[in-house]
Amino acid sequence: MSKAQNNEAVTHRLLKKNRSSAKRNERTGKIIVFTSAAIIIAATIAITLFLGYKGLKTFFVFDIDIWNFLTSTTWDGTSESGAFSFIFGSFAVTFLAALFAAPIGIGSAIFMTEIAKKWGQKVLQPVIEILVGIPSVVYGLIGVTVIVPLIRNHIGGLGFSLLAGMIVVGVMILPTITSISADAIKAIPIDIKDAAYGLGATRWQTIYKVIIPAALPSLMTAIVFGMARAFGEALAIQMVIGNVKGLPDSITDQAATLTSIITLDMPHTTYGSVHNSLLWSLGLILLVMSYVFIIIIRVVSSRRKI
Amino acid sequence: MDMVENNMKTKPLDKSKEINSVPLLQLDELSVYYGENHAVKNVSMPIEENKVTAFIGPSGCGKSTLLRTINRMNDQISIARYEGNIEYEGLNLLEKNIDVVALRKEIGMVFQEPNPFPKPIKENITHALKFMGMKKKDMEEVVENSLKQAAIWDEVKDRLKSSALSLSGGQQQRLCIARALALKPRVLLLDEPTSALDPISSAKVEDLIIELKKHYTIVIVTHNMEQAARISDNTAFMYNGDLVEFGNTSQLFTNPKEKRTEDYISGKFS
Repeated sequence: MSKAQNNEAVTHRLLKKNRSSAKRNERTGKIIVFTSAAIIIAATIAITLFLGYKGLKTFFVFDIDIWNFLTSTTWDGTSESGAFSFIFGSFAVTFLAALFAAPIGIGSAIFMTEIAKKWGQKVLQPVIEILVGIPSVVYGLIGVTVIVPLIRNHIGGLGFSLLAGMIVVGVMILPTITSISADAIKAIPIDIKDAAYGLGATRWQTIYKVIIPAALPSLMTAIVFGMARAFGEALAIQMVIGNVKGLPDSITDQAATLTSIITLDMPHTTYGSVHNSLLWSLGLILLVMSYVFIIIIRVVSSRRKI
Repeated sequence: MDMVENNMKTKPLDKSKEINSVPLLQLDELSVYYGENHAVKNVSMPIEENKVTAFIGPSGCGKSTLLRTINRMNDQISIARYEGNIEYEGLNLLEKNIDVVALRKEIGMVFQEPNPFPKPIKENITHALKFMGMKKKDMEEVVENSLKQAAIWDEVKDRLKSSALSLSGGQQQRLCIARALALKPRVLLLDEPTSALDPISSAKVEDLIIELKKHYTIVIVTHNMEQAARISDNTAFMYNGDLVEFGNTSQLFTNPKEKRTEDYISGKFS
């Protein structure tokens, strides 16, 4: 008798109940979460479609040759215009900035995670957070008032240059690279470090031969993240690079990037004109490149371990 | 008296070491602190050459700390502090002027969780040799020898280039032992080397340890009392940071002097 009762109690506890209030709660939660996800996806698709529509108009409505657009270095707002010098400028700034920021960023990440943990946590971490928080216009201002004259007086040229862009953008992406690298290094299992120290490795050998190789995919991800940010940076770069429409001859020569030309030219064009449409095409290139960066990050970070 | 001396003269040098029982390592009034926490308290004991010495005791009794003190792995922990002596060849290993990097090559260590580098099997060994500054052309022979010594050569010789992470847990642990052996240490410290392994893999590692003691002095921390009884010559029972009892393994397990030892090995607490 009691066993039958028991069974009934168990049944009552374990079988799914048809309680409408619980079900309603469940459904509300689901709706909120699904809507949020849907909005993000819709926004991404909408931006892509919109930029695609606007950017491709140049080639399909104004009939500009896409190859000419990608390779020509003349930019006069007519249908003969090409974006190569800006594409080159954007890539040059991005790679130079990464070249500048990657060693410093990874170096300070190693310093704060492996060498001076306490000091790193107390001093370096806040410094990095502050660097992230500084608005890009401030970087631009400092670039114009400090870096540009420094280059003009000590290296040569007008000062407004690729080099100035590299330094300013490099400092801007430094915190991104440092903090992602630091997280990557912290995530290396202590077991592997123990293994190295236990085999009589010095601290430098452990860092150089064990920690960096094990963290390498994540460090690459950090650099690509920084490059993605450098590629999209507009304001600060526009203030220091000189915005000359043509290929630079040297690192101290003036140049222009996709972003700086969009922000500079956009106010001077009439909506619907060829010039305006060309700028949308530059924007499309930026979007495509950001997708490329994301794909690179995905590929690199999926290749963890061996 | 004369006869004994004569005997000793006629025997080869390494055999004479077995006769005289001067220990390779002598722990003397050794204390380890983590900040305020007195983790190991005034431990004195010998560690004899070419023997297996086991540290047993409940979790948190300080046995792993004691082991990690011998090759100064605790130096990695900033709040760790030592008192006392570990005498080795006339040196105190706890002195500041000891080169811990060189010490760890002489007194190797194998950890609880198998921790191969996430690299090919062969590189796990050559990596260790690179720490030592060995030249590439000298490495081949050492790789083969140390893998053979760790009784894993036959299992991996055809796939030296595949990832060490593709090995089973037991194979990984024997690879870690091989990696430690490649540096030609005199002492091997094993920190619960089989606790993450299945019984069959454990048995293989145990057989290996018994084999290795011919050439190496081995200190092993273990949770498993049967394991200590099976493979060790001397056993130290620790409790709450104290060395409760140290002695010949068979004597300690069959006829313990201390009540606490008896309670522990008979399973009254763990």
